[in-house]
This record gives sequence, structure tokens and C-alpha cells, in this order.
Amino acid sequence: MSGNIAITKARALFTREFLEHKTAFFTTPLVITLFMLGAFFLLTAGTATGIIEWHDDIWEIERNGMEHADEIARHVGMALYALSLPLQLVLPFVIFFVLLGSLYDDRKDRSILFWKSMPVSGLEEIGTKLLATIIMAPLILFGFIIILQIGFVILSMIFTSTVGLPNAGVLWQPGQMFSVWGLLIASFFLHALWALPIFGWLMLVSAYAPKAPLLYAVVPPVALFAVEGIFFHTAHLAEWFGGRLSSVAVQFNGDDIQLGGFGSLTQRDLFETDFLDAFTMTFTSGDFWFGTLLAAAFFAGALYLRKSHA
Amino acid sequence: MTNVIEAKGLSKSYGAFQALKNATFTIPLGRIVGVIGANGAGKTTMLNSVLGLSSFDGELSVLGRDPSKDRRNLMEDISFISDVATLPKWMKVKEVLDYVEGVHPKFSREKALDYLSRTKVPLTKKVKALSKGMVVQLHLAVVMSIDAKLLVLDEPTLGLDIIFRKGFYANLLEDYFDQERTIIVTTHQVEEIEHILSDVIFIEDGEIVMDAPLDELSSSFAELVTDEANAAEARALRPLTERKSLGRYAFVFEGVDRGKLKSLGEVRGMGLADIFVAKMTGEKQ
Repeated sequence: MSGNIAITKARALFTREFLEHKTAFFTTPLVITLFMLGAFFLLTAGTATGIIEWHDDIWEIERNGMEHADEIARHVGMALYALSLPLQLVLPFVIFFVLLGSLYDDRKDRSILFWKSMPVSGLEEIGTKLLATIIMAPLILFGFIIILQIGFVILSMIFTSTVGLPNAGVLWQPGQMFSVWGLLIASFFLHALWALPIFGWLMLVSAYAPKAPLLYAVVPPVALFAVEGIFFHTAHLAEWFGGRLSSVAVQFNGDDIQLGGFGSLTQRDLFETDFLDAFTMTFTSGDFWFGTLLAAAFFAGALYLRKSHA
Repeated sequence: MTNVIEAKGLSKSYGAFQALKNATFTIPLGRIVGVIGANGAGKTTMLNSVLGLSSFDGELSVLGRDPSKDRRNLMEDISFISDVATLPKWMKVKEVLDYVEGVHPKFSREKALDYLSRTKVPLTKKVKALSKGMVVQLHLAVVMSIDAKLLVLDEPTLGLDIIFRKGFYANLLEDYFDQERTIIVTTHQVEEIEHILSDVIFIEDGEIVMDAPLDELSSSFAELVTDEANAAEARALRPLTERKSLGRYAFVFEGVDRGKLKSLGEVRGMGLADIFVAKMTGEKQ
């Protein structure tokens, strides 16, 4: 296959995923972004007090003089980060349900027969579905986060100028924006790497479930946790599973810090997380590679099942 | 003549149920083959094996490839419509064309647009908004615009009205079929495809009970209508079936000399549907 054909094909495959999941990948973050900007606009135009309180810390520092410029920047950074949380929270749900339906929905509506009439291999198909969900969808979402943050800053600047507060320019902190974007992307992909076995499990279930994939996805692991609890009075499986979801940071930083993403984030984490270190530790962790091998087995199982479906 | 499909001892079981038993057949290039059998006889099982949609036992070569291992490459040279309404409902018509154009190196968008321009299928609507007939027209436009060597149609016109069905097969024959292509078609409406078929395969309970060119079939099957006086002599020629109505006897014969039959009464040619019924019921008698 020549390079051009491969690119054309990849584009067609990813476009298909985007169109099929346009509501989850695009419309949902769009609506949330517009809603938040709209709400913020109404708030600034209507009750000025809320916004003054919102920025109270900044103005306080501002009045204390420019030597606190770093702290101002941090407050702006925190505000920008907090602003992205509603959009971030959508992402796990999008990924969960899209992967769960990825190899199930077309079996249910029989369109699998159309997809399989095309010269697209199972690996190409499953690979596209996975990458579209865990890379394309998050990148689209980050695009909306960027729009939301810039919109928020511009609205804030217009507002502060209008009500006569001094030095609206202090709100424009491109350096903070870049570091928040970097943090969001790095923390998402760090989480995604650890969650690979979960993604694999969801696709395996999606390829296997004769009906109700949600039950097939949830019941077996929960049953295993219960069996372990009842017979061994331990919870290693559940702990291991939990580690795939959210406790990445615990393993790195040694205390109860959560790395962005789904958990709450303190000011300290935001500016002090060493992602290079976090990724290095991920790739040198035996636990991570065990999970990745498990994920590979799940994906291979999904591929095998997909092949035999008609 | 090159063979498009070569199957030897093709079998498929679902648990204890044997859907396909030791089927051996070849399908050469440039033929239109009708696969005819009752529901559950094994037609779809056989076609799914050919299309690489299910595993199988035995030997099977399609365009020189093993479909169970090489579906992806095989699909560059095979098109199929399995069942009606398998186009993804959430796609717009234009997006279907975009997708096929993107993934299929032998698809001609111009041809597809040309076929569609002769229909009322709107390019901007979603598949779920189309009528059943339009969905089939769209699907047919897609497969006819793929320069494939083998086209497999499994009940392509199920649930469509007679006008659509006639038009469907007319298009297929006029615009698509040539000596470099092979078409395999299954349908319940045998009469409608009879005139386009070159070969026929009958399947019963997972076994191929007949595999012959249609003209051979037409000349070897005949119906004799005669009276009481000649009935005994006719029975001696071992008819497949016998029925009596209004005081006259009708016998169906396979492979019996027509001259001999003519001496006993009136001899009629038979349609494919009647041949199929006679063959199936005759075997059981």
C-alpha cells in the first residue's frame, strides 16, 4: 500500500468514527463550552459582585504590588484549570460508552455486514476505534477547553475594564495557559496509559456480549472482587483495578496527591508535578507493563471475536 | 476457464448442528449462479464461508485466496450485499460514498453518482431517513461502482415490491455484469432471477443436491401430462413426482428421453421453481 492510499484510508476510517460518535466527541463538549461561556457572560453582565468575589484574590494581590506577579499568575492558572473540569469530567464517560459500543452496536444493527464488505482488516478497524476514542476524542475536547479558557479570559478582561478595575491585562497569562494545557494533556495520557487494560476489557466485552454489554462489562470484575473479598478477605484485585483509574499519582509522589484528570487538584500539584518523571516511572514500572500485556491480550481477544462475527 | 471459487469438502457446524455438509463445487468466471434452497438449508452459511465472514472446515479457495485468512485483500475483488438494510443508519448518503471512496481502491465515485442520479435517493439525507427501496438502491449503486470480480447477493431484494425487484435485476444485468465478473445470488423469488442465471446450485439440509448449468437443467427436467391409460407406463420410467388432478396425471422426470415421453402424452418444459420443488419433494418420496 502506498503512502497516499494509506493516509486516505486512515482519514476515511477516522472520519467514520467521528461521524458515528459526533454527539459524544463534538456536540457534547461544544454545548458545555457554549453553556459555560454563556453563563459567565450573563453573570458578568448581570451581577458584577460574583465576579469581583471570583477574582477577589487576584485583586487583593494586585493591590499589594507587582512583586506578587507570580502569585497572580498562579491564581489565573488555577482559575483556568478549574474552568476545564466540567469538560474533563465528560471524557471518562465518553470513552467508557464509546468503547463499550464500539464492536457491539454494528453487530446489533447488522451494519457489520457492510463494514466487513470493505477491504479493511480487523486490526485496522479495531485500531481506529481505539485511537479515535482515546486520542482523537480527547484532543477535540482539549480544543474546546482552549476555546473556553481564552473566551473566559477575554470576557474577564472586557469586564474588568468596563467596571473600572485596574490593569485588566494582568489576566492575560499565556504562560499559564500553556502550562495548564500541557498539564491537561500530559495527565490525560498518563491516565490513559494506565487505563489501557480497562480499554481493552471494554472492547473485548463489546466484541463478545450477545446483549447488554454494560452488564457483561461490569458484572464479571465486580463478581471477582466479591469472590476475593469473601474467600480471602483481601481486596488486591479491586485495589489493582482502582490503580488503573486514578491512583497513578499516589504511586509516584508517595503522598495523597492526585494528578489532574479525574481527581481534585491542589495548587501545589498543578505547578509542581514532574510529568517527565511520572512518564519515566510509568515506563519502568513492572505493574504498568503487566497491565499493558493484559490489555494486549484483551485487544487480541476482541480481534479474534470480531473476525468470526457475521 | 478460470475458477472464481473452488470448494472441496466444505463443512460448517454450529455445535451439534451441521449447517453445511461436505459441499464440493466450483464456480467459474463469467457466470451468474443462483443458490437455491429452503430457509435454513445452508445458503447463507456457504456464502459466509466464501466471504470470509465465518470459519469453516474443508478446502476453500476464492480468487486464489483463503477467505478465512485473507478477507481484507479478498474484499478488494469481492462485493457483497448480505441481507437488506445493512448500511449504517447514522450515515448520510454522501458520507457512505466518502467512506467507500476512502477505503476501497476499486470504487468509482463517478459511477455511483451516475447510478444514484437515476434514482430519487437524496445525497444529503441519512440512511435511516430513506425508504427501504432507496437503501437497496444506494447499496446497489455502491457495489456496482466497485470494479470487483465477484459479487455476492444474499436475498438482496427481500421485502421490496415487485417493481423494485425487476428494476434491480435489470440494472445488474445491463450495467454491471460482463464476462470478467461472476455473480452469486440467493433469493426466495426464484422466478424473478431465472432468466438471468447461467448456473444453479440447489442446497438441501446443508448438502448440495444439484449443481448444473441452467440450460442443462431445463433440458433434463420435463413434465408429462397424460391419462389413466398411460400412467402405468409413465410410472415405469421412474418419475420424480406424480400428481393427479381433474382425472389427469402429471409426472416430473429427470433425465428421461423426451421422445419416449412424447409417445405417452403431452410434454412440457419446466420453470426453475417447479424443478426445484420437484427435486426437493421427489428426493423424499
